[in-house]
Amino acid sequence: MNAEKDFVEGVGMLASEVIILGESCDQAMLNSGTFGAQYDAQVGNVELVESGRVDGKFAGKFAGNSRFAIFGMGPYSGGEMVSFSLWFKTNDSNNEMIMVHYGAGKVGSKDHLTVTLAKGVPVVYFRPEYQLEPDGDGTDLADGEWHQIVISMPKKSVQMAGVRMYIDGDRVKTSMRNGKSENVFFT
Amino acid sequence: MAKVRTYFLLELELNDLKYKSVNRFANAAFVCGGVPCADYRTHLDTCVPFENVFFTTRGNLSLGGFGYQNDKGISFIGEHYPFMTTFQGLMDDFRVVARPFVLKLFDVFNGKECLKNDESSYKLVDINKFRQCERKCKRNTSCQGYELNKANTTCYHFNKYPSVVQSNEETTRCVLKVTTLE
Repeated sequence: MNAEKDFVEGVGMLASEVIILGESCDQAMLNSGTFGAQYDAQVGNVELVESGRVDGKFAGKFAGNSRFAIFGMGPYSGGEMVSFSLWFKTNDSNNEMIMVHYGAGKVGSKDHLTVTLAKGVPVVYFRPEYQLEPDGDGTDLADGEWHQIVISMPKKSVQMAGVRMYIDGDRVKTSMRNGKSENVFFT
Repeated sequence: MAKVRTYFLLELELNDLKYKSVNRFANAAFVCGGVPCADYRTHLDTCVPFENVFFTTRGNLSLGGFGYQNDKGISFIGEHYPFMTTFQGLMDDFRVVARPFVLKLFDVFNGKECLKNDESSYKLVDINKFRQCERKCKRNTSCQGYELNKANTTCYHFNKYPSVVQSNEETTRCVLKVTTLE
């Protein structure tokens, strides 16, 4: 991590900027959850725009140079449950876009949890060869409308195939892309 | 969407937050007792926490890209997924919890009964214990709700959403299955 630091009277050195994947991040998105400021996100090039999903509220507009990252995720380790919920809106149905990523350590030795939108289809990656995706070909969430995707671990150290996916509030049937499944275990 | 904070580890919302300087995060990560630390690793090695207990953290979380995971040089996750691109579009209301999200919940109306005017929409279910009434309805995807009378030990399952009406018996409850997250 690269960090520009300024001296603040009575406090000491404070970072005024961090560089994430080559992009300057000089703003922070405050965490409103119970763990507080330790989990604020460092943000760069994410514009807040009126969302249209909820009147008077804002959404983050992501571009190719956008960065939104949190350095430490504390107790999420071992087989602990991790569940994501996210609303998004996009027209990009040509690429496989990273939506949420949680991971630590080297890829392959332990699992990570990465949710992508592959040409409109949500896919969950645990390792490069372990992927969970919806059954059938009918899913296309890159239609310019708001959608909610939820990835939920129903219990600790659940089988990868047992991780649940919800789209717009409905549970969807999923299966592992190559048929293999193991217990989820993070670093 | 209702907020449920129990067991929440992280609940970043893009809705109505305002950006602030990155200093706020830095205050926790780079400074320990007023002593400047070169980076996070140094912070762990040399600084002694003097305020809130805060154990070491592992793992990085990011939205729209690989964030620190590909920036620290410890994982090179991008090498495994070179075909993935950063997200382009809008994101809102992101939440992380250390528990499952729950899809099916029941709305319980105590002292009410389910309206039984369409005989094809409900049936009397044979149960031995009260909990079986809910359990059987939960497992039966066509069951949209149930009515339970503890005094009479009766259980009705409905394959259409019933109307909820006032009951003469306090021991009656009408319960509707709702398919919603949280």
